[in-house]
Amino acid sequence: MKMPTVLQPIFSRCLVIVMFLAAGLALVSADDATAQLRIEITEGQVAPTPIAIAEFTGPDGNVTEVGRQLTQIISDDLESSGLFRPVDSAAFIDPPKAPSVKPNFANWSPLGVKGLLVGSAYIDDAGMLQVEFVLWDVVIQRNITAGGGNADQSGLRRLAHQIADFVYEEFTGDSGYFDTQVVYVAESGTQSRRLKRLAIMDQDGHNHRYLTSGLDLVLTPRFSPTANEIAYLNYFNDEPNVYLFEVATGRTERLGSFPGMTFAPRFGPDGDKLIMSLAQDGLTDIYEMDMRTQSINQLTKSASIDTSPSYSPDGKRIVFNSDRGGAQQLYVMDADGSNVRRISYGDGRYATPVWSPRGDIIAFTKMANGRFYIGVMNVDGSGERLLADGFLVEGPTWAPNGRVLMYFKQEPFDANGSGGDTHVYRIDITGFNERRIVTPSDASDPAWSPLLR
Amino acid sequence: MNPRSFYISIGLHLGVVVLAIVGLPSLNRPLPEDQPLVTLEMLQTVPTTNVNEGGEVNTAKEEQQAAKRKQPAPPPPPPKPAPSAPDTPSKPTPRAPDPTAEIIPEKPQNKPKLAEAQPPAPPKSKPQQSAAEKMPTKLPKVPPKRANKMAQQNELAKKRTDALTGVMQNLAKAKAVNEDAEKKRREQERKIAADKLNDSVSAAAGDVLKAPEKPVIGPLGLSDIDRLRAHLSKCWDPPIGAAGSDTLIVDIIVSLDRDGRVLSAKVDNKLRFNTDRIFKVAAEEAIRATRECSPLPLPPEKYEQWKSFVFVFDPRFLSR
Repeated sequence: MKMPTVLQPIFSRCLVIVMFLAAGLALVSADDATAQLRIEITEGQVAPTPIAIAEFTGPDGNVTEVGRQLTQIISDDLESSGLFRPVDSAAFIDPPKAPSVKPNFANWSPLGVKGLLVGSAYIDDAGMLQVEFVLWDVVIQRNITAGGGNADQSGLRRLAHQIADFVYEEFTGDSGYFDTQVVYVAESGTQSRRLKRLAIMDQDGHNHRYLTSGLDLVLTPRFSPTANEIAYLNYFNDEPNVYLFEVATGRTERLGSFPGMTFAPRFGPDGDKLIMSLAQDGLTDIYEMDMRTQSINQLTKSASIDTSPSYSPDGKRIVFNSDRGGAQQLYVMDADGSNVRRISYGDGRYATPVWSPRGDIIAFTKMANGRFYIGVMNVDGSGERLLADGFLVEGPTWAPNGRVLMYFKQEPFDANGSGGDTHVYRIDITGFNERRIVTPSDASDPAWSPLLR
Repeated sequence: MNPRSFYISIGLHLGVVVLAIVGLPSLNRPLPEDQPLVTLEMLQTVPTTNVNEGGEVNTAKEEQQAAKRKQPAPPPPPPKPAPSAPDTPSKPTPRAPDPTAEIIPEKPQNKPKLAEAQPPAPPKSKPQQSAAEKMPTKLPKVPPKRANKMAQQNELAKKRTDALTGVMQNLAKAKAVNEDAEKKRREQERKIAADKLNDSVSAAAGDVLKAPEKPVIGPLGLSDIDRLRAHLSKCWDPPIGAAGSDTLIVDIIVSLDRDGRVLSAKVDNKLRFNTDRIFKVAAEEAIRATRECSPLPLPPEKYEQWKSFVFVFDPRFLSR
C-alpha cells in the first residue's frame, strides 16, 4: 500500500506530535508532586503564659494611685488562674507612658513575655474613674485588643476584673470569670452550736458581706442565671422554706414552704424555672416549678431517692443522682422527665452532680473507700477524673466559663470536738492550681455567680 | 518513498512513543531492591560524609546498592553510575563509540525483561558487569572520572539501542503483558519520584560531578527534624484545658530565608480561624511560637528542602 503523497508529511507530523504528547504524559505522570514537608510539634511548654502588665498611668504619663491598684488587681486575677505569669515590673526596661503609644517591642521581647498590657487610669474632675487599656502581642508585634470605660470609684475592682477578663479571653479563647461573685454559708461556733449565715464576696475574696443574721439555719444558696437573685433554704420553725434574695437591694422574698425539701432548688437556664427534689410519703422525687405560674410538675416517679437535679446549659436535659440501681449513681434525663439513663458506673456513691456551663462535662461528689472526692466526667459518663480529695469534700460549683470548680473541704473533728475547719477551695479542671479562698470564718456550700452585668 | 521504508519509519516512531510511555523512566535505572521509603518526608539516616575513594559521587542509596551487589571487578565506580545515571531527559546522548559489538550477544537475555518493562537488578547488572569487564581496557587511557561519565553514557546508548531493537522484534509480546507492566510502572514511578528527590538533593548540593571531593549532602535527616521539633517545643504554649483540645490541631505554613529566619507564618485553615474562637487563639499561639523561635536551627546547605514547610501543632499529648 502506498500512502498518498500529500498525506505523508501531515501523517508524520501527527506522529511527531503524538510522540511528544506521549513523552510529555510519561514525564508528567512520573513526576509525582511530593507532598510538602510536614513537621509535627507534639510537645510544648505546659507553663503559665508570661505576660507584662504595666502600671496604669495618668494624663501626665506618671503612674497614678488608682492605676497602681487596678494593675495589682489585674495581675492577681491572672496569676491566680494558674494560666498566666505576670512579670515583675522591676524588670521593665522601658515602662510605657500611655496606652496610645506603640511600644518598642525590642524592649519587651527580652523579657520573654507574650503579651503586654498598657493602660491609663485617673480620677477626672467629676470624681469618676476613667480607664483605658491596650493589649499588645509582643511576638507578632501587633495590637490585640483595646478598650476603656468609666465608673464610680467604688467600681474600681469591677473594672479591673473586667480588663483581666479581656486579657484572659484573648489568650485562652474562653471567656473569663474574674468579674463574678461567690455566695456561701459562713459558719462559726462549736460543733454542737453552729451559727450559719449567708455571705457573699467577689471571687477573689474581696468586698465580703453577710446577707442574713444567722438566727435561722440557712443552706445551699444558688445563683440565678441573671445573677440578680440567690435562692436558698431557710429553716424557719423547723420548716424548710425557699427564699429569694435580691442581691442589689437586699430584699428577701419567701417563695414558699416546701416540706420534705433538703436541697435548695436550682434555676433553669432562663431563670424562670426552678428544679428541686421533694421527699413525700417516704419517696423523694424531682419536681419542676414554673416561677411565673407557680405550678409544680413532677418529673420522676420512682420508688427510689431521686435528688440533687441540675439542668444542662441549654435546658434540654437534667442530671441527678438516684439509688434506683442500688447505690447512689448519676442519671441523665430529658427535661420532661423521659429517657432516663444511667451515666456513672464506678464503685462508691455519686452525689451533687452539676452540669458545666460549657455543656461538655459534669462535676460531682464521690464517696468511696471512706474518702470524699470531687470529680468530673463527660456527659455520657466516660472519662471520669478525680480532681480533689479529702476527709470531706463536697458541693462543686462551676465558674461561668466551665474551667474552674469551687467546692468546700472540711477537716476531721478530733476527740475533743475541735477541728472540723471548713473552707472553700477552687481548682482548675485540669486538676492543677488548687487554692484556698480566704474568708473571715469557716465557709461551706459555695455557689459561683455568672458573669456580672 | 517505498512502502517498506514508510513502515520502518512508522515502526520507529511508534517504538519511540511506546518507549516514552512505557520504558523511558526505566531505561537508566534498575530498581532498588527494597528501599524503605517514608512516604512523605523521604527521611533517611544520613552519614555525615560520603567521600568515595574513587572521588565518585554517591548518595546513601547508591552506597546501599553497591554494598548489595558486591562487584568483584576492581574499579567499583562502573556499576554504581548505572543506577544513578539520572533519568532526566537532559542527559546527553552518548558521545564515544563503544564496544557495542561485544555487548550485542547479551541482547537475547535482556529482551524479555525489557518487554515486561521491569528490569530487575540482577539481570541488569549483567551488562554492567560485562561492561565492567570491558572497562579495564579503557581505564589506562582515561582518568577515572571521565571514564565513569563515558561509561554512563555508553551504558545509556547501549541500552537504548538494545531496547529499540528488542521492542521492534517483540511488539506483540509487549501488548500481552501490558497490564502487568502498568502495575509495575506505577510502582516504578513512585520510586522514581523518591529517587528524583534524592537526585535533586544532590543537584542542590552543587554540581558534584565537578567537585567530587565535597562530602555528599543527603536529604534532611532525622536529627535535623528532631532538633527543629525540640527547638519549637520550647516556644509553644499549648492550649491546656481548652474545650475540645483534641481537635485543636493547627497547621502553620512557614517560609524561611537562608538564615532560618521566619519570613511568613500563616494558619492553613482561614475559615475555621475566622469562625472558631478557640481555634483562633490556638492558631495565634502557634504563629507566635513559630515567630518567637526564629531563626530556626536548620542546615543552610539543605535550604532548598526546608525553605517552605508546614508545622503541625498537635496538642493531643495534653490529654494522655
